[in-house]
Amino acid sequence: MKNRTMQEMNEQYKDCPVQVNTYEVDGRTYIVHSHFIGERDINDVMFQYAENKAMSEMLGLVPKAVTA
Amino acid sequence: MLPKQTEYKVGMYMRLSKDDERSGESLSIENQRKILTEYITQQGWTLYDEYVDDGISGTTFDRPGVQRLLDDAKTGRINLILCKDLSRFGRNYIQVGQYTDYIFPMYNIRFIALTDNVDTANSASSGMDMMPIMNVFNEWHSANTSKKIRAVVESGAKSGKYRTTFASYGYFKGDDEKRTPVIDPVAAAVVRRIFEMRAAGYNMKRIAQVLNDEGILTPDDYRYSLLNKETPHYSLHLWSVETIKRLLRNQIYIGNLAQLRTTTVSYKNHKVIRKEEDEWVVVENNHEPIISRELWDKVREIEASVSTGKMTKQGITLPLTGLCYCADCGSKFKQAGSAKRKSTVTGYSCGQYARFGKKYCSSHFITAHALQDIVLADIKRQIDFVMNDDKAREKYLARKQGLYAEQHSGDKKKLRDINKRIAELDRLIASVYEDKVTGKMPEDMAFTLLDKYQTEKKSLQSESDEMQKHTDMAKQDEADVDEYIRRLKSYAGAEELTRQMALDLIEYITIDENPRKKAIPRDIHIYYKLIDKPLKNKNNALAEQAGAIKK
Repeated sequence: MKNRTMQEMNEQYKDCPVQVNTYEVDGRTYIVHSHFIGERDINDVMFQYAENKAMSEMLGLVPKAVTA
Repeated sequence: MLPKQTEYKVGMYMRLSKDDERSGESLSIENQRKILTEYITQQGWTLYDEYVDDGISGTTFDRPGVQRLLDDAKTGRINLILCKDLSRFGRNYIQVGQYTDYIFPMYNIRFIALTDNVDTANSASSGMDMMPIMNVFNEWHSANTSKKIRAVVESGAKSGKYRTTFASYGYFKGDDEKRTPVIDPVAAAVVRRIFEMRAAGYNMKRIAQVLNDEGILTPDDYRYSLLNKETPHYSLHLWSVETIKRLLRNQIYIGNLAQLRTTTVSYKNHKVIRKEEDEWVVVENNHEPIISRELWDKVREIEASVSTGKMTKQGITLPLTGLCYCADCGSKFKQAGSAKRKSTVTGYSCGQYARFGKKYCSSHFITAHALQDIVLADIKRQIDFVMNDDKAREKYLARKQGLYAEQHSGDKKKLRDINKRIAELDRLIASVYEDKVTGKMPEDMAFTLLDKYQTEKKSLQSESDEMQKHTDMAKQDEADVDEYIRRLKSYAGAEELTRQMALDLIEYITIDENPRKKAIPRDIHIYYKLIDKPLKNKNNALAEQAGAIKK
């Protein structure tokens, strides 16, 4: 994705499935258009992420990430 | 016409390349010196100086010896250049010809290649007639040698022969014929950590900072510390972004041996050029990897991300930094501070607006916490998995026990060594005591030794107790498994948006203009690296738009 403009990426993903949802934060309404351009299942990604994070913290495998 | 030389000041030139060394004694520097000195004596000439290039190819004239010789010739310090044969002077027929045919006559310098019968003062000789042909043959020899060496190197690389002076950081060169890389456990732990930090969303500067703050030796310093030597070249002794970048791109850490990554322009021009990745010779699964393929792929994905992960002045990378674009002008969003304290990042605004002003785009400002809340809410809405607690529990215990076994094997050896030394100290204490009683040892010396042994024993005893305590703690597997499950559920449920989560799930975000009236909704487009699971079996993905969910 590096070195590509937003317009080029938008053009590439224009036919991907989209869901639209509305959220309210600090009294303001936001319409969020979620474009699904990949092939991953969110449940798998989140479980993998959670497992790595919890395992690392409990077993002291990686330093605590300030940024992550 | 230039005057004929009568008195010669001779510059004697000798060269031996690495390849020539295989030809044996006939080409050795010593042998060349002997032949040339004898000839100078016979002729009654004066030797001004000798010029030697040992271990340098004749295809280049970038040799210190030959350059000094040419300087002395041009400044008139010598007027006769003597070498054993033409190939000693050079194997590049264009350059050799240029010197012998143009430059040397211009400076009135005589050139003799003894065994080839070349003498520029005797243009009628057969050697002079043959000189161009001999030059071509000399160069052909170099071209041929170069081809042979390249073929050997390539075949070695293809068979997984590790050809390097120093092994990559994290490995030692093996003792086998192929010098197969062997893991260095100390450096490998640092390598693993670097990859894990990068996968967790650290940018390279931050990784370097962490390593520098902890005082971890740089690869160069570590290598020389193992050799008990000072780093021989100038160094700041600090990890740099470049070092981290190189390390993160080295396939050696997944067990692949990638060689022949650079080449030279030709055998005559030794300028190093980098090859395209598809031209490298890569032997897969050549040796034991330090990191998993999964971790490697994760780092590759982060490298390909549109975000470079710029840090704030406080050294923190916000979860969505670098992932947002202005929907109107397409420029990246920049971190924006508050009006009072510019160093504190409170949100993001259009990069074009930030750099060039409102004439080119509007601010599009959005607070960091609003954007994070929106993204988090949208992620949470999509999660619908059911966790199998027993399976998670089982996996955690297995991993913990694996780690325990790994650690325990090291501890066991250390504990054994400590106990051995304690037993030895007991024996020493007893023998000193006996020697004192029997009068074999003066009392003051006995007390000094006893004191020394007792102190060492006490220190070892406390170390042993500490290790035993660690071992006992590690055995309490069940105690923390509940905490693990709690954390697992919390993270999988996306309680907070982290940088790593953002990088795992989001390709990029576009943010529309901020409407002046608060009542007008604002549009945000999130491009997920995900499949559209809820709509998988529906024909019209946009059908969902009608039933927008209000949080």
